This record gives sequence, C-alpha cells and structure tokens, in this order.
Amino acid sequence: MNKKPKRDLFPGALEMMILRTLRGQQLHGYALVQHIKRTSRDLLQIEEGSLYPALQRLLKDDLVKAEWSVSSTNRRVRIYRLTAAGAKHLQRQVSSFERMLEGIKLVLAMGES
Amino acid sequence: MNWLRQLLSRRRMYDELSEEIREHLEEKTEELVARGMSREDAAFAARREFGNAALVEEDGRDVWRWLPIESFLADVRYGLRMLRRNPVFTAVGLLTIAIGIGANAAVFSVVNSVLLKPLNYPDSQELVALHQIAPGAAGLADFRNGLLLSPSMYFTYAEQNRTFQAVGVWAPGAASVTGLAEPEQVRSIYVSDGALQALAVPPAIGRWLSQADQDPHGPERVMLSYGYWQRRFGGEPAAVGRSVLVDSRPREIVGVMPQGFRFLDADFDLIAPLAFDRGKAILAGFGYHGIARLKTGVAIAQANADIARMLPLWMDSWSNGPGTNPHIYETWKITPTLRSLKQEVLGNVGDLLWVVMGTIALVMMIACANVANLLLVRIESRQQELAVRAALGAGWGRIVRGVLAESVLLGLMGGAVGVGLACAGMGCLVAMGPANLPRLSEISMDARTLGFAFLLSVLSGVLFGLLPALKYAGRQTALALHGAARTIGASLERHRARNLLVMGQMAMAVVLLASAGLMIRTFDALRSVEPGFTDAQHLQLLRISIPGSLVAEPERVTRMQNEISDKLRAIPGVDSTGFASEMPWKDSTPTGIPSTRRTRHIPATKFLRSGFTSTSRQASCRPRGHELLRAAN
Repeated sequence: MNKKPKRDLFPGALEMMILRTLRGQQLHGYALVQHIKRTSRDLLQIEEGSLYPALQRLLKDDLVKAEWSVSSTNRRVRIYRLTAAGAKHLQRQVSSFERMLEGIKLVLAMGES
Repeated sequence: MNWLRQLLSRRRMYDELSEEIREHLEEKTEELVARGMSREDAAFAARREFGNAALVEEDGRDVWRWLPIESFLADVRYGLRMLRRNPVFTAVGLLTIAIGIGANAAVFSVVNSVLLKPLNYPDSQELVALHQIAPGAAGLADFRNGLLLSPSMYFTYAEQNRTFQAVGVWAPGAASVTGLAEPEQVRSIYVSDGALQALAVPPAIGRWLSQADQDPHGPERVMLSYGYWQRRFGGEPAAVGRSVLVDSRPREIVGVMPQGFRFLDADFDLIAPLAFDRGKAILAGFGYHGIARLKTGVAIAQANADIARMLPLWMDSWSNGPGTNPHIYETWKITPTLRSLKQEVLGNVGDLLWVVMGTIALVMMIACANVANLLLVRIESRQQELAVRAALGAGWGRIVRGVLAESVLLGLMGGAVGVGLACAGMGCLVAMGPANLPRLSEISMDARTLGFAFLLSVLSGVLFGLLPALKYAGRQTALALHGAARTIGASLERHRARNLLVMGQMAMAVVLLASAGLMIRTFDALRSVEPGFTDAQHLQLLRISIPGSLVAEPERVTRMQNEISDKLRAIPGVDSTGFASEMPWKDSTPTGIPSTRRTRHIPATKFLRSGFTSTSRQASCRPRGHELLRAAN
C-alpha cells in the first residue's frame, strides 16, 4: 500500500552491487539476489523483488545484457552479464563510493586518533 | 533511435519481466519446499521475501516509460472506460455540462464580440463621438443623444480644433432610388467631410467622398455599401462611375465600402454627402451626430477642453440671422462630454450583458454541483474498487488523478457538445436580431470564445471532480475493502458533502428564480403599457417620401399626399388613413430648425384601419386620437 520501506540503501547502491556480482560471472535474477544476500551475510535486508527494477534500469542503460537460457535445474531463466560499459560504470561508481566512504569515515573518526 | 527500439520492444520487455518474476517466485518456492516446508507455506514465504510483486513489476515497467505522459494516458483510457461503462450517468452528466457550457459559451461569445473586441476600425481607440450635453436646452437635447451638432458647429470644430486628426458629422436617413429595378427606399447615411476619414476604412473599390463632393452646387455623388452593390449591381466593378437616381436626382457612384463595414452600428445602403451650404449655415440646426479621430496620444479630457474652448468662437462666428443674440446659447450651458466611439455604440448594454453573464455563470455552477453530486453517488458505489486499487499500491495522488481524469474528460466532452449548442444558439440569436443589441452582426464563435469554452470545461471538470476525489481517495479504504461498512457515522459523513451541494444548488436556483421572476414581471409590465392607441394589430404603417427635388412646391406635396391617401382608402377593408412625420414609440431626432439638406424628406406614415367605421381625415391621423395625444404629452 505504501512505498516507504523500499530499501534503506542509497540510490545506486543496489545497482553497484549487482554490477560487482556480475563481474566475473553470469547469473540470473534469483541466483543474483541469493548471492548478494549471502555475500552481505544478510545484513542489508534486501527485498528480493527490489532487484528487478534495478536490473531493468541497468538493462535500459546497456550496462548489462540479458539472455534467456535453461538453468541446471531445468528452469527457464534470464541470465545477465556485464557489458563493457557496465564494467567501466562499475569502476567509476566504486571509486566514487570509496571516496565518499573515506570521507564519511574521517568525519566519524574525528577526535578518536 | 534507441528509444524507438525500446518503444517497439516494450511489450516484450514487460512480458519478460513478468515471466522472470514468476520464475523467481517458483524457484524460491521450490527451494523452500526442498527444505521441507509445505508448498502453501513456501509460496507464502516466497511472496513475503519478494515484497509487493505487482509494485515491483510496475516499478520495473516504469523504467521503460515516459512516466508522466503514460500514466496520464492510462488515466484517460481508464476514465473513458468508466464513462462508457455507465452510459446513463455519462449521458446525464454530459447533457448537464453541455447545457451549462453551451449557455456560457454563447453568452461569452456575445460579450466578447460586443464588449471586448475593439470596434472594427483601424486604431478604433482613437475614435470618439462628439457627445455634448446642454442642460439649459430642455427638449432639444435628450438623454441618449445629448445635444447634437449643428452645421455651423461642425464648421467651427473642423476648422478650429487642435486635438483631432479628422472630424465630421453624419445623420441617418432614407432615400428613394429609382431607375434601377423597382423603386426602392434605401437606408442612407449622410456624411460631412471628415466622417469617413475619421473612421479610416478605405473603400473596397473606387474612392471616398472627398471634400470636393461636399460642394452644394457641384455634381452629386454617392457611395454604396457592399451589400447594396452586390444586390443591385451584382458586384460589378463597373458600377463605379455609373449614375443612380437618388430621390429623382442623378448621383454618380464614386466608391463601394468594403464588406462588413458598418457606419457605427448602422446598416446602410448608400452614403451621400451632406453638402452643407456654408453661406446659409446658422447657429442652430442641431441635428447631426459628430465623430472624430483624436490625434495620437490625446486624451478625451483634452479634447473636451478643446471643444469647450471652441464654443465661444462658434457663437462669435455665426448667427441665427439679423436681430438675434448669438450668445443666447450660453444659457444652454453646452458642455462637451466626448465619449469613445465604442461607448457610444454600446450604450449601456454592457451592464446588461455582464448581468446576463453572471446569471449564466450561476447556471454553470448549478450544473457543476449537479454533476458533482452524481459523481459522488457513483464514486460511492466504486469505493470497493478504489480500495482494491489502493491496496494494490496505487498512491493517493494516482487515485485522485484517475477520478479527475474521468471528470475532466466528462467536462471536455460536455464542452464539445456545448460549443455545438452555443453555435446553434448564436445562430438563433442573430436570426432573431434583438433590436437593441449593438454589433449583432459581429457576433461569432472565435478563438477566444473557444478558448473560454475549453477553459471552462477543464475548470468545471476539476471542480466537480475534486470533491468526490478528495473525499474518497485513500480514505476509508480498509473499511471499504471489507465490503459492508455502513456504519451510521460513515453514512452521515458521506451525506454531508451531498447535502452541502444540494443546499448550494438550492440557494443558487432561488437567486436565479427570483431574478427570472423579476425579469418576467418587467416584461409583463412593458407589455401592458398603454401605447396611446388601441387595436394595434389592425394598424398598418407605410413609409413614403416625396423628394423635394421632384416636387418642390409644398402645396403640390400636400395634394399628392391627399391623392395617395384617397386611393388607399378606396382599397376595400381600409377604414381610415392619415399622414404623420413621426411615429409614436419610434426614436425621433429633434432637429430644431430645418437643416439645409438639399433633398427634403417627408417621412410619411399612414395608419390604415380596417373593418371599422370611418372617422374624419383629421382624426384619422391618430385613430382613437385623444389617447395618442395624451400619451405624447
């Protein structure tokens, strides 16, 4: 009914994690979300569904490509893979995110050193 | 071209997204089942983990959309579907709105054409009517026309003024045209030099009447109206240069005024020069309307001062003949009160039209309230649907937009039908031709009126849609979802808005009814005014004129009139006849001392009475004449 608890992540965070996960492997949506949940040790509490709009956005910007195939469990799945543009985008995003994180950390660590 | 490809493949994208989500949920369910959950629990858990699938799908689709437009289109489509599904409601609403908007658009087009649009002359804001009042000259100056101008005044103003580009005088009249087809009495306008120049509308063909044409002893000339030119000369350009017999004297046609040209508000066939004889002009002869074009940047107050300055000059320069005191007119207290030509043409019809506009606006409000009420009732029956939509994730704004889209659509469709009604209504109005509505011929449906109708449609749509939309969107949804939520509190609440609407409608209807009643009473009172003569339906009126150019001697004129009168009385059924120069209940122009016009008009009217005993000739001037006398006094 209300759209409030969509995610507590900042805009672009989910996309960044998706791109990072797709670097080096091709996954379909379900596997992708399980992978992210597992890797993040479920700290992020991602609603599984929220992945899909993010994937659509990435598709639209040509950062990922999708292809239908059949999974090992004999299930029709859409496999996503990173494009060259996606890889570049990821790099840019990660470095800018790290800078931001660095800055935040510095402010938070103020007076402790 | 990327967006185009996306647009074309969008349907597939949506399908793929749905399938993907479905597969996701199934895979999750399978996995949970594999871990030992029951299938039912697993499906539920999968859904809970996933979040709002419909919303996710919608969000996913939104990525590909041009959102504002598309959701707007969706609202429109939905609105149309809702309207189609309720044909009775739609028809009633449509008709109500159509009548409201039709009436408003029609009246607005009249207001627009008559009041708002400038007069149909170039730079018409510079045009003024030389209106002046003379409180000391009871009888000669009336309320409507004030004191008209005399030829000598015209000469003075034309020659001595400092504020006018052009100034002239004119008078309406009638003339007999013979020698073309059947003899015909035509409406003519007599102008001095400067009148046409002030209006500054160039002729369609030929030339204006010039100063040379105003020579009382020179060749006589005339201009035609476009309509008369078409009617009598078949629009033949060679008509210019030909001669017509006007009041039995040949006049050369020098030009034709363009189509749609009207002399102020007068329809005319001919324009002829007044051709004042300057040598014979005296102070008196206040029988001419003055018009002038102000010099650029001159205000009416300055022009008033200019004329006030010229009045003593006028009295010094002219006389009423030997032994008369020219300064007698000082006692008249002649005061120039120039007004814009538009004001002169419109008179006080402006107030009336605004009142009508206000009244019609009330009708529109009632129509809106009515439709709002209908919508309220209908939306009440749709509460469940709205609740479902809200539960599925539709925001408050989205639902309001949906309801508004429907009501605005209704408003627009009503507006379209209404404009049709307005066109028909205006056709009727122009065909009926109310005598005292100026600029009637200019009334038309133009862009401004259409814009007004459009705006009104949208506005009324929003107005009658907003109340139900705000009242029901996003409220009571939980209640409504459970179906029967008819608690007393809710129904009271529900009825309050409708009661308010009905009360408002009643109040407005009472106001309308009262004013309509007053109007009918006024009309009724007008109908029962004693006209001074009885049996009006048995009176016939003819207008004839015996041109002075044809019959010069007054005795012969009288003799001819008597002969005509005798012949008329010989017609079976005619009871009595008589002549009069003015008709009761007709506008008459006090002219004072007769003018120096060359053609002398003797407008003659005869009352013919049938099927009753004859009275004497003297009395027949006014059948049941004493009453007429009393009325005239």
